[in-house]
Amino acid sequence: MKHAGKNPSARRRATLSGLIVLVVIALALSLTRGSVDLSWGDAAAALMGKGNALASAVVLDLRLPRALSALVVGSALALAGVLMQVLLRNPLADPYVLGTSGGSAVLVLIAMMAGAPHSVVPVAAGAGALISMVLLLLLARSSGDWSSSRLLLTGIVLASGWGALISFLLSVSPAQQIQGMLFWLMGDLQPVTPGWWRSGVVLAALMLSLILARDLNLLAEGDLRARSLGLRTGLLRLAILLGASALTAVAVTLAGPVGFVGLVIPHMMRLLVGPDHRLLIPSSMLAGGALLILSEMTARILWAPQQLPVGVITAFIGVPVFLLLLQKGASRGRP
Amino acid sequence: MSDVTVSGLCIDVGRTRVCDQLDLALKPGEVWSVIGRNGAGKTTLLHTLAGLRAPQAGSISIDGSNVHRVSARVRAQRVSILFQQLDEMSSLTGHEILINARHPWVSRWEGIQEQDEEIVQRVVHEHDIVHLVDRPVGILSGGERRRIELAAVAVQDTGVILLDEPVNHLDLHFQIETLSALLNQWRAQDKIVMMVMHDLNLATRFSDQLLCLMGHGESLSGPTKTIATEENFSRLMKHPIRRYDAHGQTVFVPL
Repeated sequence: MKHAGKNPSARRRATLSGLIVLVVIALALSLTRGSVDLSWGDAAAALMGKGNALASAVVLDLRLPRALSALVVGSALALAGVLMQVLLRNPLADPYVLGTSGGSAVLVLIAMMAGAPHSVVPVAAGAGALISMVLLLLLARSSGDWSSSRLLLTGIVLASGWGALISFLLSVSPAQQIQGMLFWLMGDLQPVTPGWWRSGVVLAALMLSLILARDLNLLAEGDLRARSLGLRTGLLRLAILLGASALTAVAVTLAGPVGFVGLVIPHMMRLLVGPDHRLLIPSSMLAGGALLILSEMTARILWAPQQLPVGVITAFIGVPVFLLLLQKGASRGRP
Repeated sequence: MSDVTVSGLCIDVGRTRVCDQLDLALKPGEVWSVIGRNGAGKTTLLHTLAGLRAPQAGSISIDGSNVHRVSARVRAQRVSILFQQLDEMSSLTGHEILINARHPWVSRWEGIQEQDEEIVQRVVHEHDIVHLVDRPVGILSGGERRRIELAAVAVQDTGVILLDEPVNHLDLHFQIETLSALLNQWRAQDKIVMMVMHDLNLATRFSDQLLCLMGHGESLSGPTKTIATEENFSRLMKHPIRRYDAHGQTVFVPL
């Protein structure tokens, strides 16, 4: 009989090893496939600084930074999704639904229009996510207690508000900027390395949520129940909102609002490994990273030489997978 | 051994007064039932005693410290509560719910220990729910779900146990069997149990002490023998009630 508590460490090792292998395979594919197909040997040589000039340029300047960015964005969005779903006790929640990435995107667009220097963009993204989050807190909390449906509704209204602002900004911005903005809004990965602060935020969020994993398990049983088991839910909810918005800012500054990863990956992992966050969090982050690396690669190949926004690919992959999982999950009793 | 002292407790829900200047002393090994009409505030009182809701005035002390002042963790080591509402959303298995119930005793850095798993397994066998714990609770019946939740209370292992309609959703024989077995065990362990009961007969049958919420803040408490009278119950339920003795049991029947 499968037993969650019997040998968690063995199951954990097996699942996580499998997912790490998946990430490595995704990386290898992403480095070798594209407008120029390279052999495994060429790519490996380029990575070690010994390859020919073309291979080195393609691998080191274009594909590797993009793949690493995809890994960071994918894992950040997956973790943000897991956190939001606990917070709202709703498997359909993610930073997208709550309007966090919308708020982030609006401020980034404003920074782009104003011609602000590159270093300002992450600040704008973080500020936008935070503003959206604080608005959500204030509006959803006014009645004095937390109600998940109220929070979700407030988030959806906020998100559509940000959407309207984005449309407004696009319609008044100069024609030569619109294409770039549109692509970015659809989720576009540029060949830039993820950078230390982004990797740092994602790693810190990973560590913190692993420390809090059992608390998240409790919160998933509902606010009152969690409190009766000794959890300070107000603090935990605040930490979740802060963490999820920082993760959203990381993803938005690298790739624009890519919405689907945070929704599908945690769902898929929950069906695969169960609802225990000690396993769900690292699995989701690895799977999210792998999904985005492969999506980014597909985006380069599918319509070559035209490069598609990665958000389009994640939606193409995500929608059918999500529907399929929902169908299967319903018959197994897991929502 | 635990003790609970309630002094000067005032609780309002909206414009309704649940209790006014309520004083109670709950002693180890006692089983209490809270009874009253719908909307009298039985659940609110229980949540307040659990430290989950602040009262308008007065204090509740468990083992010598105010339940609203101690840390959430210490509170959860002293008092557990079974909620009335089932959580329909949950995709957790019974085993996961039971492991979660060890939370107040689990160190953040050491995590769940072998000993916690042993306690869960022991309770699972005592409560005869081996066949239920590996399935997601969402697919269980209300009664099966209730048995998991009662087991979770046992796993939390607190000196004070609050139960909001514990036998709701349970079949008749489970109502009698489960409840009397659990209460006997908890009495023997000198725990304090307070239950919200809907059924006057189950309340009088199983409890040593009764607390009647009469409405408008009025309350009546004391040993079951002295409180369980036709007059008190008729006034409590706002309906004439007669008492009959048969087969060594006392039953109250509404006219």
